[in-house]
Amino acid sequence: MSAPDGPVLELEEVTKRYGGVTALDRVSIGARRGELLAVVGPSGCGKTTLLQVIAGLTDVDAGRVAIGGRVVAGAGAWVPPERRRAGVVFQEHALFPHLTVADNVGFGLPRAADRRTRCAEALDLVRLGHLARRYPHELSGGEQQRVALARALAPRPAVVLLDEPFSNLDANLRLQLRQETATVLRASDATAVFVTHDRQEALSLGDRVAVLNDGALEQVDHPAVVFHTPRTRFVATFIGEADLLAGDVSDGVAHTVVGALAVTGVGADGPVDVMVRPHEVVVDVVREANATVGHSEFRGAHVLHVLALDAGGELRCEVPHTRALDQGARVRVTVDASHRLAAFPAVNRPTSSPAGTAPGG
Amino acid sequence: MPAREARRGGRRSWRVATALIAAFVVVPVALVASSVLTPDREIWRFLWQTGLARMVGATVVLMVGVVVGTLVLGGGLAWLVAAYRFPGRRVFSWLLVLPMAVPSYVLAFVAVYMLDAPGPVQTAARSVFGLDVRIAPRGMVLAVLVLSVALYPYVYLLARAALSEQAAVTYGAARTLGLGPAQAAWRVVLPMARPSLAAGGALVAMETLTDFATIQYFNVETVSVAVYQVWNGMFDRPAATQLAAIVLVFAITVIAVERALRGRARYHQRGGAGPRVEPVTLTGWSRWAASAVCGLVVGVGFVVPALRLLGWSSVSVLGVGAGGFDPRYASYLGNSVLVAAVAAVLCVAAAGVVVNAVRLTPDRATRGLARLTTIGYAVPGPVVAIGILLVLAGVDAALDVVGLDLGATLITGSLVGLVAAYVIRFLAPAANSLEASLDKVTPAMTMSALTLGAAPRQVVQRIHLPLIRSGVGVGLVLVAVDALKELPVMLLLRPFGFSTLAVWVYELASESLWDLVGLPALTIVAVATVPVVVLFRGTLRVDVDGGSA
Repeated sequence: MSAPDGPVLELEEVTKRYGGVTALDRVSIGARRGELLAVVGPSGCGKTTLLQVIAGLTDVDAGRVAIGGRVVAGAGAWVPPERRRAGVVFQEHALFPHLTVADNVGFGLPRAADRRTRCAEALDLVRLGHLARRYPHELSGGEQQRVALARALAPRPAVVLLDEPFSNLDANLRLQLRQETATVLRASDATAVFVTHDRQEALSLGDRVAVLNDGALEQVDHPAVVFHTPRTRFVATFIGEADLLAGDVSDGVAHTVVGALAVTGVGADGPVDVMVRPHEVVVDVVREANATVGHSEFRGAHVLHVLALDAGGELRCEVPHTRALDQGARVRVTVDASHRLAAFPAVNRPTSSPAGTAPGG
Repeated sequence: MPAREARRGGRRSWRVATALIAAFVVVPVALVASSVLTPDREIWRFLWQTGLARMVGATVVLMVGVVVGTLVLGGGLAWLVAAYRFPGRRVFSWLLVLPMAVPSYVLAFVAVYMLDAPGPVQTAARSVFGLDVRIAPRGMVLAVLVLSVALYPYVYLLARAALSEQAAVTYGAARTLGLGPAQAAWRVVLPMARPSLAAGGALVAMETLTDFATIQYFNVETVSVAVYQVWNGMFDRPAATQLAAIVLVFAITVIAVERALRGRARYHQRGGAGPRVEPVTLTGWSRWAASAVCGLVVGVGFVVPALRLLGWSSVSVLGVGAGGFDPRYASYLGNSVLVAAVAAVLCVAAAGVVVNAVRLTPDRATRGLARLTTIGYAVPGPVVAIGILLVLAGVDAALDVVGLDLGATLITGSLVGLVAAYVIRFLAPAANSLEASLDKVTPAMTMSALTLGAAPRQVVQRIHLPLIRSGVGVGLVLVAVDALKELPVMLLLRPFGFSTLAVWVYELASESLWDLVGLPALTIVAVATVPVVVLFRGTLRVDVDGGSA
């Protein structure tokens, strides 16, 4: 068994190929006891494969997987899924249709005296004790999801794996269940890996967020760090809306067409692209203008404006709907992030060209 | 490696079991195939002298004739029911599969009775029209006609499936581009239905190759007949093996032709409620002609034989005629039920191992082995039977070496060979029904059960089996009915002195003991009707005013 604060789950250089496709490319990641790790990426990035590798539903081609300090895959070892103590909540919930809710939840429990107690405990955790005798087809989608969660948690697994558990539910229910699931997972002190393609879900649920792209991990960090200081351009644009603003760095300050911006993430001085998110862009109609308001997108509480910079290029800006601007209005654009902005060394651009935004915003 | 096996959680044993079942199916066929590579000149000279060339010729003619006949009948009727609206269309759409319930050997002897010189047809011709006809109903043409009527439902079913799928949309497109119904059918529907027609034709060709009982009523001698005569008459195993190898060459040719015809369109998606071919309402005399054609086929293929058998059996059951009720009926029925039950249980058990192994160890090797276990359905009966004889002879010789001399009991005195051959032949329908049922158990359910700590065997017991009970039931019934009406393999492999309803029917009909043949034959037809009605009545329904389903 691992030390109290050691990683419950540990993946080391895990590689998995399907034919010519590399689904996981030397992925190393761990989860500490009680931690909720959100794995996020576009479809086909390998996140489901990652769960299957951990659960033992598929073998690894290289690397090592350890659960609770025990190597379960790789280096000649292979522990079948039924002995890994990894509970899984599947996207389609996969409840057993011929068993009652109670029997579903009790499925993974040994035939011992406390089976019924533990089963009731798990059902209470998801507040479904009153439905114990129902059959799965008599439940709503949200209830099915909670039963699936209770069933996975009942045998007290070392790690719980959730594979897009909310994607089969409608939008309103999804928000509510997201919070409930987080509460249940924290109440049961479970270590969980949670896979999703929804960046909002990842940011709001995860203690840490792992961004997976094309089978490789791009960044694993606290949600705020991933959001504000993405390490790669892919993370920058995938985890939230972002524009890249061309600039030149000297002494940690990038000089751009909208002013000097404190940046981080670049070692040497030279041309960079600075990541700016729409909510960090500030517009001012009083001072000397440097941009024109283009088309807008109404988003309810906020309005997104596309600003055409006089120096060339575009920048998106999100403002409260009470301060919405008219198309064609002349504005002064500045950036106010209250933190150092992420910057990436520019590719294929000469040193002295401070104008405009870089491609790929 | 017991330690490693334990760590793998018992998965290897599933794969090994699948491999054993695959070997059980493949080895007999492979033994027959290998005999092609070791031809014996003496045997070939003997076979040549006894008319091998003539038999090969007859096989080709019979196969081509029956395939063409079933394609015309099955394909044409499927198109008629799908594309036209006429009186009785709804009922005929599934009544047209009923001839499947009448085994070809039953249809054959009813046809011989009806068409023979003393039979009703020629009697009527003489008395009503004053024609002086006395024709013996024999020959290739009649054999082709009877087998076509008996076997066309295979083509009909596949053609119906094809017509209710992709063809409808493109048919509509062709019509909007200015083609008439017939033109659109010829230029669009037929090419698109080609893979299904090829598959149906191949199935029919295999059934024709398997048969040697039906065609003997018509004095047609194919290679399969020769296998039976050489083995049953002379117990000449080497010669029978060489002949079976020729049958296998025919079968492989059929498969090659089918592959070539269906091209790359190998898999069909069974569509849901997609658009259908909008049927044309027939008017005037043509609407009644359509009904008449369907009625004629169902009448010849099912109603007339069934009524004729009913008439004969009432004679024997009521004790009106000379024969009266034959007490052998009960004992032969018992034998039939015994063989059918044993075959059904073994097939479903083996299929259960295979489909679960594929689900639990979804690697390429297991899937490949699983596919091999179902090839027996496409191998003609005589090939399987002779292959089994070769295996049993080998086992017998091995037992002799270790001092266990069983004499001929293993080969000709036990049910082992017969049951083994039935398992090989009928594993495919059992596996198909279990698979269809297991499709409803999603892979995520299996994985959930595993990750909740259930070992593979427990997953099968606690999740798979309770959920595929209906598939197990359907599989048991399908195999039991197939085994009950099966004749060629039974004739080749039955133990000395062992008889079943099917064999008895064959013998009684050969001796024209019509009053006696009625009851056992009617029993077979009645039992075989059950799955046909249950399986197809629902799936082949057409809407009252819509297209085909």
